[in-house]
Amino acid sequence: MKQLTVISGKGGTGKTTLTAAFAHLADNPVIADCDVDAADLHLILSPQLVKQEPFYGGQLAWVDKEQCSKCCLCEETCRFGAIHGFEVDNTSCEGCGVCAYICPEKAISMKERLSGYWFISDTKEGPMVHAHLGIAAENSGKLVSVVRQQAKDIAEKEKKNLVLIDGPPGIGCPVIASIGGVDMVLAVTEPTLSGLHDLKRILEVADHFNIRAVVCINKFDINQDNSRMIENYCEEKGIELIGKIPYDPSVTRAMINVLSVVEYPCGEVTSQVIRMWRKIEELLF
Amino acid sequence: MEWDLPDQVKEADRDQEKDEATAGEWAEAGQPRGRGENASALPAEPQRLTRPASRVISLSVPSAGQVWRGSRGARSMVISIASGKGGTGKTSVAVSLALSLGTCQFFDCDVEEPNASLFLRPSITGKTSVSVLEPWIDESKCSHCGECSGICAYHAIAAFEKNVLLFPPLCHGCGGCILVCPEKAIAEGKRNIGVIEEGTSNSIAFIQGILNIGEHMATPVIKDMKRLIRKDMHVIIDSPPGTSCPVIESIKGSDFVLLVTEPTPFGLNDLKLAVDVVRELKIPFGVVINCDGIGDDRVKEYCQKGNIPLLLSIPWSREIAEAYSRGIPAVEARPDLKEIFRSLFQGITRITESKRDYDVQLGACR
Repeated sequence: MKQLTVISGKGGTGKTTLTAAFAHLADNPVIADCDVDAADLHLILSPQLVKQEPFYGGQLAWVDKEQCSKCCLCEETCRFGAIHGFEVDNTSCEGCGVCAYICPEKAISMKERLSGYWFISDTKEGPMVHAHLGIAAENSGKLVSVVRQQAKDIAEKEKKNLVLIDGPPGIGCPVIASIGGVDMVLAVTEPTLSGLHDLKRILEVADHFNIRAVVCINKFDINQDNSRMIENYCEEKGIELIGKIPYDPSVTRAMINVLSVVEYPCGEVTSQVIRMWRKIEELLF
Repeated sequence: MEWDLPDQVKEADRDQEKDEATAGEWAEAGQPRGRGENASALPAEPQRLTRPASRVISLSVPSAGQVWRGSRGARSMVISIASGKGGTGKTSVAVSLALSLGTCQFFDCDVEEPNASLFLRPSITGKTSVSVLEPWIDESKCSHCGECSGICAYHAIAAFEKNVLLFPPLCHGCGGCILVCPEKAIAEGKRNIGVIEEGTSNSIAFIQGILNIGEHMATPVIKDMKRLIRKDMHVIIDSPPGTSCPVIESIKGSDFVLLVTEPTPFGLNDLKLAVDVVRELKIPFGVVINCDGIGDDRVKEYCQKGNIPLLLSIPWSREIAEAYSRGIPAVEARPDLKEIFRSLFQGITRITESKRDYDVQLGACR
């Protein structure tokens, strides 16, 4: 069983659009949406919910005002500035439990923090694991790990040969959780200075964790000079460029019609994405 | 190409011009208020980062006459530019807004992938490294009691019979292990996780944070950056995408959040998530639709139904997209847009001032 994560560094370069297309093209995949704080893959794959589970991402301090002697020790000790006037600011509390430990009146207790939900669903392309991070909740990396573990379990149980992972933007904790231990990452970029800048950083992250990376340029014809710059950069670094997708407004129309770009006629985009997927299969299997 | 400024903003503009003659006073329709005792009830520090949470969550665009018309410029404001979905144009809007204001402080809080410097091309004058506290253990004093790993909520420290293992990237620096260690065997060291760069780009004071490759936590970098917020000028914060901790850290304490979206199903879905977050944080907000015309009208319908001010629609334009790809801000490619962004700013001012006024009235009622 192989694992592939689609990442980008910069947001909005086309990760989810490509993941949805790959889900359609892949033989026998389990699909995991690891962009847990702004998940979009379900908007194309229309999952039928099979199972929903709460996600407890750490703890939250709670002050019992009846027992509180207003000594302020908790406020002084909290490194996150999460206690003001004997009340806990939920968005700042990181659940370390130091306040509960230090409180002489034992007025502070730590409660499980409901930080979101994760789901197992059926889609026409195969089983899908996805999640919803609670409003202003923390620990998205931990939720990503849960989603990935569930997807892996399903793949093993149902003898699937691929876990296809839609990654989040950025380079921080949810990204690191999305790419840890996968067989390959596909970095999707665009021919803008931002795209190139962010591509360099995400490729460094992949390299830092020793993960094989390949690159594709989306909307490459928006700026051909920048596209060549990206190509040169990849060549220099010995990273394979596996596809160049042109800009086409029909990609958005496919999305509006709840279809992937390989199910809705998107001209050259469709054929390029199919060609790219064949390449990925060659590299993975 | 038509730039669509909603009527309320256009009106705000006209009012602003009209009102210049009476600059420097608080005025409310039928109830004039000077700078005397009533004015002292106003928040003394408009830029305070921990403003008490307001009871007002949603609001509509205010009527004229409730606006602070200062002759020496409006009060300075902290405006965050955010979005659930990435790549909708946060940096583009933030940079254009900053350039239209001229003088302001600009914070690129997308420390995982900071891009604003590509557009503002600041000359960097100072660098400060960001470090987090991290325990180190004096093995000679350690009695292997296991108290440290017992309190650690992040599994960053594991005590065994003969040794103690640390997992630095998991440590949040809460200091719990140091507090509980009976042998005083744990001291606090520092670990660099990123850098803050300061510089200038014309009259814009530029600040960006850069998270080191391989580091998990962006929030300490953002927290450190925001200590540099000044009170004597407007502040523009370019937030990272998403809805989780780095976003919350970036937009917390802002006077206003501008949510940039695109008119697609993904854009709408992620806008709704972002709206949930700013409502939870009780910060007034408005929406900018970027690349208008590429998708459908569902974002507009959503804003209308939810009584969310839609402050600006920017049509998709190859000219702007190409300029963007070369690191040229929209307002430089098309200087006529500066006026549009100034109007956007006026619209924001109007909303925040009316909210402040409303809060004061609420306070008086209590």
